Amino acid sequence: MRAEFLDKLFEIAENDERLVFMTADLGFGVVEKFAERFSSRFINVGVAEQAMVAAATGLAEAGLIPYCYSIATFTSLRALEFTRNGPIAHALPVKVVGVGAGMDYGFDGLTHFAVDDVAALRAYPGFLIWAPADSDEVTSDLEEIHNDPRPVYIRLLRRGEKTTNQRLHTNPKVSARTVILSLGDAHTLSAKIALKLDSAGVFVEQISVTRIDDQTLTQIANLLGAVDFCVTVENHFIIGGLGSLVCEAVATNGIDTKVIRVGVEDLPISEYGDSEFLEKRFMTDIGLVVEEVSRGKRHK
Amino acid sequence: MPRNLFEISQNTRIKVLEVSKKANKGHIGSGLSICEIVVAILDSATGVGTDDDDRTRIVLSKGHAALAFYSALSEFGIISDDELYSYCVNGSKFGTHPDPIQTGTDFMTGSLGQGIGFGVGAAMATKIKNRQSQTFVVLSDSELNEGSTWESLYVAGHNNLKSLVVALDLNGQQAMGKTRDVMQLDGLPNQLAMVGWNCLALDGHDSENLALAFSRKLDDGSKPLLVVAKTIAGKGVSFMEGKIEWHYLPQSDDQHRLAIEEVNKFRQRTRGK
Repeated sequence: MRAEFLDKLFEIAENDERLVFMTADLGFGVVEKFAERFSSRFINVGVAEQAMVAAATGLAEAGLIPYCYSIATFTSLRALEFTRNGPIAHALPVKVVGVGAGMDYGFDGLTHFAVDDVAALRAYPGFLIWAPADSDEVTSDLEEIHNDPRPVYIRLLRRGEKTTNQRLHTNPKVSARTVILSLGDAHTLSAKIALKLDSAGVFVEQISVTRIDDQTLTQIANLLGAVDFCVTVENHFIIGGLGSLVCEAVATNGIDTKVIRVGVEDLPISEYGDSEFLEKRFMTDIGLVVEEVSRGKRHK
Repeated sequence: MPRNLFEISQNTRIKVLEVSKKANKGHIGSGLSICEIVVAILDSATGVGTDDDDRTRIVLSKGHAALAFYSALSEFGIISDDELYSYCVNGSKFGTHPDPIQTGTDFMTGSLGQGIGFGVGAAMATKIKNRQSQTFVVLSDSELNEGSTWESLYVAGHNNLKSLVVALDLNGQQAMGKTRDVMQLDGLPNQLAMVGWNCLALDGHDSENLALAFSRKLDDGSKPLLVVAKTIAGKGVSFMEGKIEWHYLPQSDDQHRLAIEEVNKFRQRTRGK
């Protein structure tokens, strides 16, 4: 996903001199092509995410379109107040890029796990979170995101699997009474749950949520009108991300849908492993979720 | 005809006192500290308050001293007196910190250690777009406590952002006490000179000399410029000078009358010289 992102960015930069690529000293092996081709528009600010986002604000004020690239925790969290008081407060089209959604960085541990980035950034009006579901979406949508005048947080995996799920922001219609909504790359876990539910005889439809903005709450409410069970799946804490957003949509619209959240439940520290291990160790037990849905029971 | 920067600075000082009195607000000491700095910057600037992409960018990184900047903007006719006196009135565009909704203000500040980064970006844009515009940042010495300030200062030096001028308001005071008691930070000019900056140390209340520095007549213009401007918090009002409490206090009626008298007496004395 990251490679496709940078390839597409290179293509856009060929035609748009406003595009400036900033990095906080990361991207070894993947950003050199850009740096060589567009040397005046490539800025490595050093390990200084706060200065990067602040400077991006100054660049965007001058009509340029800066991308601030680093590992997701560093751009989303370390520089959070700068994003808030900079691009968000000034309504400038700065693109804050975070690589390594969720626990993508496996053995690197909590310092590298973006499991709270959406929670941190979701509150801001006029802001867009773009969590593309796969590399095809990166390629097909980046130009539109590039030209979007809003500040945006781009949540990327390093790699990722492809999906054919419909996407929430296109206002899809569902006929199933059970729906799984997955945030960005979490469609892979969604597919696992769907397979198990299918085996249990539950008809389920999967929808990807790849954009979160001022419209998302309404889009969720429209989707869930006649849905009994909505399972939310995200590589993020179950608090503050997609699951919370769906609960807000359901509660504030008086919708009679039971929401079951799948996400990171425990603080992912002290035990290390690959993504599969981490999923089992720190995320909601999907066996229990499947059991709950298939029995048609409601919690509490 | 060159502007009389001394008179404009004193007018600015009077406005800081009058507007803060009307609004019953504090942050007076910080404002009085930078009157000459912001006047000298505006004297060197072009296009402030317009949409011209090549205009000078001014970032008040020490956003809490905004009233001095607003007062100077009104002295230069960039905002009206009505706008200035709307300071801290409900529904006003003018609060205690700058907001880009205001004519003449490009960047929102108030969180220390951020404005310098905005200014670095503006200077980067000048370089990338081959603009002529300068960027001025007014930095508080207390902002040197913030790590992000240092990130930005290093980025500017490394990238040779020579259109950037930082005026460091070295008044030696911060919110809880003397700067030297809160955080020892001596040696700044030397540190920055080693990482690609030109550095000057000037009297921060000598508006004429500051204006020369800001128009790059006192250095060779080949690097970003740091002007270490030695100032006095509360400058011009003896009972406010160097007193931490004037970071917070509004003026009583008597204090306000005395303060205005002092500034005007100083003005008369200086005119007579």
